[in-house]
Amino acid sequence: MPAPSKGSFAPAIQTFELTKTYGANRGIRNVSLTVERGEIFGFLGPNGAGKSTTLRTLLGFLKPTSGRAEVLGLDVLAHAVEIHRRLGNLPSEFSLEDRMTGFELIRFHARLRRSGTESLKRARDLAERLDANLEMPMRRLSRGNKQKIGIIQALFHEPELIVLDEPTNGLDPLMQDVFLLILQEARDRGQTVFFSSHVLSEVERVADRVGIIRDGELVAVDDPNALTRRAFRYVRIQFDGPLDSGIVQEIASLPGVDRFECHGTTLSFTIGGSMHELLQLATQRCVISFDAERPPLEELFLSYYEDDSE
Amino acid sequence: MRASFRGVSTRSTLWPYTRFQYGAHRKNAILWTIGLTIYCGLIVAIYPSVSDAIDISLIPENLRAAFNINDFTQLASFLSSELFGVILPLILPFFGIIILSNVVAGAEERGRLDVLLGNPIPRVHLIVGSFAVVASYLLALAGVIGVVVWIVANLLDLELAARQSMRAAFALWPLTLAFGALALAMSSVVRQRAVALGVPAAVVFLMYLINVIGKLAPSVSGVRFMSAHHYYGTAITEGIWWAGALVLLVASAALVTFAAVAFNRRDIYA
Repeated sequence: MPAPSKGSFAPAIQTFELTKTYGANRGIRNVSLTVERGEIFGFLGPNGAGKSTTLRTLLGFLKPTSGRAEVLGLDVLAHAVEIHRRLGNLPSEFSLEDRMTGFELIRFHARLRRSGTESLKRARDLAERLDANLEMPMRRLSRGNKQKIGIIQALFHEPELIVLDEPTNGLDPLMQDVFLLILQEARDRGQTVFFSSHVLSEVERVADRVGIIRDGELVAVDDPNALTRRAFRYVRIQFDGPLDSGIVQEIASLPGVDRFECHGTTLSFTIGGSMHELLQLATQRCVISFDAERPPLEELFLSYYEDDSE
Repeated sequence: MRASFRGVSTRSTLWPYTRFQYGAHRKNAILWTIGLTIYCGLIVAIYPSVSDAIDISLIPENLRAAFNINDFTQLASFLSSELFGVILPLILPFFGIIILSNVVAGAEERGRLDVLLGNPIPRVHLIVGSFAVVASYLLALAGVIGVVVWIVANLLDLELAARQSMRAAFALWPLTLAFGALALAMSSVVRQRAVALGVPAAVVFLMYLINVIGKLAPSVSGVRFMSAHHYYGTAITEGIWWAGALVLLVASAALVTFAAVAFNRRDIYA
């Protein structure tokens, strides 16, 4: 076992009431988050929700308005260089040195990191798996191929922590699969992955835990399955005959019931929380069928963005 | 795995970054070298045809003083008023201004800072490394100018000592460094590269004008102290003004320090 390095027993990422504001409605507010070592953490939210702001604050590119953050047990402002030495970073919007080839860029980064020739071999391996061209000047590469170079430069030195902002942007579905597999392999080697996305299916596939950010606030952190379990269900109940308005009204007004519709002998709605009362009411009549489906993560995700007032 | 997990090195990233910057601007430096070689050679080459054609006694005395016009029968005096008095002090600073305005504001605007700073490189290394590269390229350009002027003068059997040519060229170095440092400081503060480029460019011409106006109108000669061009002197005829050069070097160092501090404190948006 390698000797413990500074902060090696601390969580990979820990934020304490982290706030960054740059305008009336932008930034993040009071984000408290812990990402454990060796997990893949998916960070979900639409554009403008605060994903990139959170990541950029963790990287020390943005200074918090209040609160603080630690990465690998080190304060992000006081130890930014040391943190960068131990992590790999892929920004969401970036450009690369046009005149250089991908390999020249990777070699330059290897020199900055003093990561040695072994890391360059890993870069070649990654390029082969991602079907990336390391020999062509980057000004001649497509958006997707530049994204592959960006991914390689974030991973080739096998950092303790990999921070990726919308990493599958521009990748075709086949390459997305390869990329997600690479992330899982990194996790299996003990590396930590923190990546933001608005593509929920990919997060659901690889993430051990998911954080959802809405309007700059972290609204949920859990594993993808628990989030789904905790969430509402689509309920559809078919009775053997018409219902009197009293019971319809009672069901419609149950706590957590939403999107209520009554069509003849069938009720359909969503319900959050316990279904105990619903079942008590429904079973007062003869129920022909009862379906309660968990929403796909995509829909759950969307529910976090619905305006509370709606 | 172990090597990279534990690969915490204390060795500086300054040299790899500086080397990278040398490569990034080599083509620029070569183009500037070619352009300056041709221009400086031509100016020296046309001297024989203008030396007798211009009667400087017809030029008002204060104008002569303002533009260092003393004696066109001497190549050194001609170059002091033309090449080393007007053109190079106005043009050469742009080599540094163009490159150094790009270091922070330009790189941020194009989305290149995130990838670079994701590496374990202190921000101060970007400032120091970029400035060192520009400073050494400017020194080389000054050397080329001095050598070209002297060679062409000798090829045409014109009287010009190598010492005169070289000191005139090297006197440009502190001046151009100061404007480059100003561009670097602007780049570290503002977010638009156009501003980081435009402001120092305007300052070059403004300071030149202040210096000329100060010479033309003795009543306002005090304003010349605000001009970097005042501290440049007339090295080809009078030798390098070391005190003036020192002022420019100190100003450059102060601006680079300011740039490092400002860059360290600023948020990076892309």
